Amino acid sequence: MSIIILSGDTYSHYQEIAAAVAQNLNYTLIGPEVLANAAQQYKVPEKKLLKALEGSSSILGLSPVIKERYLAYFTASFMERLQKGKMVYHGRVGHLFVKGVTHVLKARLVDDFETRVRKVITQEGLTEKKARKLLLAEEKRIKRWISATFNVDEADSDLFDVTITLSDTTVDQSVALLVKTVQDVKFQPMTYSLKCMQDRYLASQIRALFIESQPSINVGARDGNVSLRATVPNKSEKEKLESALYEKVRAMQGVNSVEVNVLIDTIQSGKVLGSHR
Amino acid sequence: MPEVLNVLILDDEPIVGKRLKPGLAKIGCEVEVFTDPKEAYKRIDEKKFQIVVTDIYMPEIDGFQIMKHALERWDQTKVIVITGYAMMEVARTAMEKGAFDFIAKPFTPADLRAMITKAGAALGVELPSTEPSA
Repeated sequence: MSIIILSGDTYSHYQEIAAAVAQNLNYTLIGPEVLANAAQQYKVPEKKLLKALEGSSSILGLSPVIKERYLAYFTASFMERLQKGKMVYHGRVGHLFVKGVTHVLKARLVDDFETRVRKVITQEGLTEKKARKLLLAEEKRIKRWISATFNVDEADSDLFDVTITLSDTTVDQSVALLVKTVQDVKFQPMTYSLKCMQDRYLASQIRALFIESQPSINVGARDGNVSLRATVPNKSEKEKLESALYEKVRAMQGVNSVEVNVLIDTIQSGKVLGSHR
Repeated sequence: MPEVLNVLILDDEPIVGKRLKPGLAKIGCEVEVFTDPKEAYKRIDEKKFQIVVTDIYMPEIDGFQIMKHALERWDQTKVIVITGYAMMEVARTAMEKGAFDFIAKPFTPADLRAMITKAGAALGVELPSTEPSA
């Protein structure tokens, strides 16, 4: 039931290591197809979902509300896959969705920059200068997006259980290390970690369900006890929404209780509270 | 005659043992409850408990010391750690020190029954289910 999440750089060969680890352990291998699955599941264009998750800074890019929505869809789809356990996921930020879940081995695979430059040159047919520029711009964009979206510094080594420098090891050595590490007792599922995962899964499903109509919605879940927070412009909307949220969430599988807290957003409504003099 | 599981519950809050004992007795466990870790420590010397359920943070002797003692005295014992201060590091430490399972408080008696059943299965003892049949 353990899970391995490998975070690697673009134009590196960490996907090869992920595949070898999955085969060795007889785990399911998942990667970028999670995006396509999320797009299909939530009926959104895959290219736009990718744009939201790539942190594109284009002026023709998506609005923050849409990005937030698409991120919620991806999170829900990703957590649904992870619920099954016994899998290896390769992607840059998967580890950020399962911080604190002890039966997930989070590994960062760092590839040598020059090796990646050479790969870009070969794969994309670019000059060395353009290849370097492309990689540096991409790294900058990803770091900025991770910081803005997850409020973390990607360089923080505490985010990972293991860091492997690919230029210092062979593929076989990396695979052996990961296979051995995940079998350590501290990465075995326990009731606490399974519940952590279940809580995140439930919260992600509920958020994805309501995010389009309630962009400000916050969802917390613990042991099937769900708390929801949202904002509306006026009192009649508040009562309607409280009732709707309660009824719909209470009927969901895995939900034991629901607490709804809907606030009236006076600025959104155009009304301003009186002064405090 | 089916094997009876001897279970020791240790938590310095009296309500915990009081609340958990009846549910375990219902599935055929012989349960002894302690609030004083020193008493529990002594009792573990005297009697083989197949399962020990212990809180971590208690005065004078903590749950990790109880776990160490139980595992050294009876190496087949399964230790389940419970705590109101659950964090990833604490959970991993518990597992590294030999815990069979770990759960954060608050939890329900049903949660504990499920863990006890799992521990029982690991010991080769099948406990009756309390779930309603189809």
